[in-house]
Amino acid sequence: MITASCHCGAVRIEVDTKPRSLTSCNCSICRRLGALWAYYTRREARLASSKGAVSAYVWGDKVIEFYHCNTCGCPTHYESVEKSIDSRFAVNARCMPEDAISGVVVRRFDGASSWKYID
Amino acid sequence: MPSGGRTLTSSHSHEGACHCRAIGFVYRTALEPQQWPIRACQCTFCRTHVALSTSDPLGSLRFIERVPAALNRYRFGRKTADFLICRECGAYIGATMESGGKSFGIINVRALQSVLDLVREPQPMHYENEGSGERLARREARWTPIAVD
Repeated sequence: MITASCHCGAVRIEVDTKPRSLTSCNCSICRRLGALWAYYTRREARLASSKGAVSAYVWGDKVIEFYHCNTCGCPTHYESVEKSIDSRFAVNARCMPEDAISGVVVRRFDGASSWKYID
Repeated sequence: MPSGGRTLTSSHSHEGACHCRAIGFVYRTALEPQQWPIRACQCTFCRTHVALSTSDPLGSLRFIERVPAALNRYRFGRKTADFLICRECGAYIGATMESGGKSFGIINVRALQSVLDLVREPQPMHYENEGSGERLARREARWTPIAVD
């Protein structure tokens, strides 16, 4: 099991498997947050934090909720606004222990412009 | 004020902000973005935010709160600096500290989307073994003075 944690430890996310790949996106929000996304489904990821520990930020076409810790501000995960058991739950791999993601391929996604992978 | 071969007469203003623009800063420096020192502190906080810090002791810096209550001042470790985070969008924009009645700051270059592609490769920085006095002195010498009204 891999536990992702924000800096202060108030938000923890558990997943059972190492991510297959990581995505680095250059869109306006991902560039600011410095996030590296590890994709899971809501079935595969468990959010373990007290109520009120995280806030969601929704902007633009309002289809994605970006979550961050209310205490240390660390971006922790994002989800679709429309949720199902198999909808995407993207964990910020910067919150995972380094050995949990060592060797995992990083893909570059052009979220700023073409909306395609560019590698 | 000549210092290190530079003067402040040609300083440029750079406006940065979090994603939702609730908080931001105005950074003035005579250095071109290609000359900026870019420091990637390897502490746990900076690594999680992948912060890219820059500062200019000959420049000036002012942080701006456009939305009341959006500014989250996060302190950790030795609690000698405030790390400035937007409560709305979660973006980390910079840090401040006070010493001897003066304030100093750094900015997170990630909050300046317009120059992010222009700056140099970040230099990894390890500060964990420095003493508290040493840390204060390093920041006073290297960080940007906060503009006084």
